[in-house]
Amino acid sequence: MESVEVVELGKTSILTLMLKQILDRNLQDPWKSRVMRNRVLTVRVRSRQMQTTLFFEANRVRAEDGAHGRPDIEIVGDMPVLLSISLGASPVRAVLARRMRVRPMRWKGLAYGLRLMLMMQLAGPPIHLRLLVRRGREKGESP
Amino acid sequence: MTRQPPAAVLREEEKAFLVSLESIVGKEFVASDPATRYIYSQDLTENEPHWPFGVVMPSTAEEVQRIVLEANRFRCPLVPFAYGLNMGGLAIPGQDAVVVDLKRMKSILEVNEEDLYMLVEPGVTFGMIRAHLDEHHPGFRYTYPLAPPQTSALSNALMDGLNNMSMRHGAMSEWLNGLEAVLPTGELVRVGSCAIVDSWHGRAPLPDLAGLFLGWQGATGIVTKGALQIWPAPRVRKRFFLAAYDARTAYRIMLRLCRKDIFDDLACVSWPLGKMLFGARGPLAFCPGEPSLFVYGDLYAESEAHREIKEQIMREALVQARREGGNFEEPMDVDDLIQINPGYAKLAEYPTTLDFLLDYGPGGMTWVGSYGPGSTWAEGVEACSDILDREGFPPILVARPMKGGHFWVLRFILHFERPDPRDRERTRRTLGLIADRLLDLHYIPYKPASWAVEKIRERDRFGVFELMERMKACLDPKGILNPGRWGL
Amino acid sequence: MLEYSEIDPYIAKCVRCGTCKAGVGLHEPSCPAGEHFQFEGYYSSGRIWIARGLKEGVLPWEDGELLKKLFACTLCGNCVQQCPMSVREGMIEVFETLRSEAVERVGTPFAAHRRLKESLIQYRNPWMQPRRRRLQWLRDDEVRILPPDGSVKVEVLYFVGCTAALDPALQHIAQNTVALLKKTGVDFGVLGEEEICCGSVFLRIGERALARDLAEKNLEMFEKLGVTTVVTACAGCFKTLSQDYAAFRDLPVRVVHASEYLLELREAGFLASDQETAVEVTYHDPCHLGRHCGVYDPPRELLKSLPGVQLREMTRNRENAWCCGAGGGVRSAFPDWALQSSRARIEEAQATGSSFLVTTCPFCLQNLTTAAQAENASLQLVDLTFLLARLLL
Repeated sequence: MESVEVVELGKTSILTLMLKQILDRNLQDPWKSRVMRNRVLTVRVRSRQMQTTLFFEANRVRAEDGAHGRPDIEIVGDMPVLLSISLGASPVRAVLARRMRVRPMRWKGLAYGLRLMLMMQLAGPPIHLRLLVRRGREKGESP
Repeated sequence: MTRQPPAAVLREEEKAFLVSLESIVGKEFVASDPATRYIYSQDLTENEPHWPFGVVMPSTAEEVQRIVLEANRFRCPLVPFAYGLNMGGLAIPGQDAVVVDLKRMKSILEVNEEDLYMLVEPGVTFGMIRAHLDEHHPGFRYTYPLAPPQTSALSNALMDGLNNMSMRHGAMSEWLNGLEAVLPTGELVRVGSCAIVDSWHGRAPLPDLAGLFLGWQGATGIVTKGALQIWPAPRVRKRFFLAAYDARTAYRIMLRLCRKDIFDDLACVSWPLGKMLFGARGPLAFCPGEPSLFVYGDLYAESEAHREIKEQIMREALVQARREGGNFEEPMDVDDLIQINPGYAKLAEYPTTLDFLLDYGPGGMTWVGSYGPGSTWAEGVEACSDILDREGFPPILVARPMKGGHFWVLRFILHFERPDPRDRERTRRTLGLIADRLLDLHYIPYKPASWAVEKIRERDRFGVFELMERMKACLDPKGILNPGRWGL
Repeated sequence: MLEYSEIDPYIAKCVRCGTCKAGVGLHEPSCPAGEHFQFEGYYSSGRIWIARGLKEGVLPWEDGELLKKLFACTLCGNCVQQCPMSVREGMIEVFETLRSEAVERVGTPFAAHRRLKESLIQYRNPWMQPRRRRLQWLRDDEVRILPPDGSVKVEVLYFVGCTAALDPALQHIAQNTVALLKKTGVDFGVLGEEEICCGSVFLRIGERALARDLAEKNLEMFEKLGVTTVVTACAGCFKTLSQDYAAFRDLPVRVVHASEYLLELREAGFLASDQETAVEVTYHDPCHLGRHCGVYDPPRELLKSLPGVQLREMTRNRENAWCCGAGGGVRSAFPDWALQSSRARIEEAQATGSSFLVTTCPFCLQNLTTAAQAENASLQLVDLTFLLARLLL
C-alpha cells in the first residue's frame, strides 16, 4: 500500500486531503508502513463540519468524505490539532486538554488505537526513541 | 486561436522603418519573421491576438530614444514589452505596430543601502533582484508578487501591482522613488528627486509627475530606469495559515489583523487554491462543511521576543474575532504545514512559481483583479464566487488588504481552453459579469484589458477619461506609444 | 519517441510563464539559446508556441528564421528542469520531433548538418574520417578487438564513440579508459574499425531514419557478440544507447557510463591506489549524462575518492548546469554561438579558483577546450579518465 486511495482528488474535502498527505508520507516510510499492514480498521475523523472515513483494509488504505460504514474508532478534533499531532504533539495531552476526542467504538478501535496514533504521526524514529530524544532536550541539549 | 495570419509581405514603409531600426540596434536585434511576430502577437489570456510587424530589442535608453524618434518620423506605433506575462493582454499590439522588447536592459544599476532604494532597468526580473540582494545585500529585501520570478519588477511597479509587502506598504506604484522615461516625442525625462539632484530617494516635494507614467500601460512613455524602495530584511519570520468558513469571517479577521500593524503580509486564497496546495488536481468541487477561504500572514520581527509579542497580539485579535461570531480554525504554522506537504513552501518563499496554478488549466489563464473598499469585500467574494459557480468555473480567488486596509484586492482567476473559441467566449462573458459586479461594489479593475477599460469608462462621471485623453494628446500627439490602451 | 501527431498535449499547456529562462532558486540564466539570441522564439516557451503556430497552419515550415529557431537549441534540457508544468518531461522530445518533421517537409535545412549526413553515409561517423582511422587511438596491442562475425564473444564492450576515436586531441580518453579497465581485470573488448556512430547527433538534428538505421546495426552487433554490458565514456553515446535506442526496440544490453562502471569497480576494490595529489577541480555536468540520464553523483564520488583532490562546484551545477553549448547540432550549425556559450562556462569554472575543469563527455571537452583557448584560461580541461589514469594506474 503506497498511498491512500481517494476517488477524485479535486472533489475531496480538505480534511481528507490533509489526512491523505500525512498517511501517504507514512506509507512511504519502511517502518511506518508496517504499522497497519494486514489490519482492518474503519476510522471516522471529524473536524468541525467535515467528516472523513479512513478504511484500513489489510494492504490498502482508502479515504472517503463523510461518514461511511460502522467506524471502529472516532477521532474528533480541529485541523490545527490534527496537524500538531501529526508533527509529534502528544495525543494524550490533546485529549486531556479536551482539544481532541478519541472514542473507540468497537474492540478493534481499542486494540489498534495506538497503531492508529502512530500512523497519524509523521514518520520519525520509533516512539520509544522519540521519548528518549525528548527527555534529552528537556535536559538542555540542542535538538 | 490566431485566425488568418497577417500579410506575409510587409508594406514598404514598414520595411523602411525596420531598416532604420537596424541602424540603431544592429540587424540581429530587429526581427520581422512570421514566427517572431506570431509569438509576440498573443499571450496566455483570452485577448485577441494582433501580429506586430516587427520586434526591436534596444539595450540602452539612448537606443530607445532613437527608436521613438524614428517611430515619430514614420508615424509607426510602438508597444513596450518586458516579459509579456500580464493578464490584460497589455503587451499585445492594438494595431499594426513594432514591439519594443526591453529584456536586454537588465541591469541593476545601483543598490543604495543607506537611502533604501535600488535603481533598475525594465528587463530586471524579480528573480534577478532576489539573487542580487541575497548575494550582495543580504540585509535587505524587496517585495514579490505571486507571479513567476521571470517577470519585470519595474513593469509590476508601473502597473500598480501587488506584492507580498503591499499589505503594509501599498500597491507597487508607491514603491517607486523616481523614474526615467522616453516620452512619445523622443525626449528623455526624469521625474522625482533624480530630476534635480543626483539621488533617487523620493518623489516629494516636487509635483508628482510619476503619475504621467504610472498605470498608463506604456501609453505615455517607455520607462528606461526606475528606483524601487528596498527595506531591511528582518531577522525572524513566522508564517500562519488559517481556515475560515465564510467570507465575512475572513474579512473580519483580516480587518482586525491588518489594523494591528503586526503583519507585513496578510492575504487570502479561496478553497480551490487551498485544495491545490494540498495536492488536488483536476476538476474541483466544494465539499459541504469545509472552509471556503484561507487567510495567510507573514509576521516579521527583529527578535524572538518581538515575534512573541506580535503573536500574542494576533491571538488576542483572533479571540475577539471569535467572540464576534467568527467561524474559523486556529492558525497553523506554515512551517508545520510544509512538513506534511512541501507544496506549501510555494507560498512561503518569494519569488515563487505557483506551478499548481499555472498547470491547472488547459493552457489559457486570465483574471479580473481589482482594487476597492474593504466595506464591500465580503459581498464581492460571495457575489463573484456565485457568478463563477454559475458559469462553470471554480472560484479561484487571491485577495489581500492593502496598505493596512486602506483598500483591498479582489482577484478572480479563470482557466480556459485558449484554442476553443467557445471557451474563450464563455471566459470573456464571465469576466464581464464579474467586472460589472465588482464595479457595482466600487472595485475598479487594475491592469485592465481593453474590454475592462470600456466598462470603467462607462462609469466615468467626472471626466477622468477626458482628462486622460488631453494628457495623452499632449504627450503623444502622433499616437506613437501603445495606442488604444485605456481606449486612448 | 514522439510522432508529430502526438505532440499536441505537450504544447497545449505552455503559458509562457518564463520559468524556463532561469534556474529555479538560482535566478541565473538557464537557456543558452535565449541568452544568446534574446528574442522570445529562442526560449523553450517560444519554441512551443511556434509549434502551435505550425499546427494551426499560420506559420510556414520553410521560413529560414523559423527553422533557425527550431534548430538553434542545444537540447540541453535545462528548460525541462525549470518548467513547472506537468508535461515538461516531453519537451525535448517535442523539439526533436519538430526537427524531424522539418527535415521531412523541407529537407535538412543547414549545410553543416548536410555535411554530417554525408559523412555518415560515406564514413559511418560524423567527422569525415575514414573508417580505417577508427583504431588510431589504440596504443595497447593487448586490447581485444572483436571480429564482427561474432566468433569471439565478450560480455563487456567498451564503446569508444566517434569523437574520442577520431579526434587526436581526445583519443587519450579512449586510451585512459582501456588502461583503467585493464587494471580492473574486466574482460572486455572493442569493435575497432567496425564500430559505427551511435546516432546521437542525427537524432538531435532530425535525421531519425539515419539514427534508426544506426541503432538497428549497433543492437544487432551487440547481440551477435553476446554483449551484456556496454561501457562508454561519452555522455552522448550513453544517453543514446541507454535511452533513445529503447524507442526502436527492447534493449538487449545494460548500458553504463564509464564513470558509473569505474565507481562500481573502485568501490569493489579493483582500482585502489596510494597516489596522492593536492589539486582543486571543478566538474562540468554534461547535459546528456546529467539532466537527461540523472547521473550526477558517480563522477563526483570518483573525484572525491581521489586523495588530495578537492572538488569545488560551479554555481550552476547538477540539474542547473549551464550547457557547454555544443549539443543538438549547434556546434556545427552555429559555431560562434557555441563558442560564446562555452566561454560563459569557462568563466564560471575559473571563478571557482580550480586548477582543473573535469568533465565526462568528449564533445563537451572539445567545445570547452576551444573556449578555454579563446579565453586564455588558466585552468586545465581534462576528462575524468585522465585524472583517474594519473592517480590510479
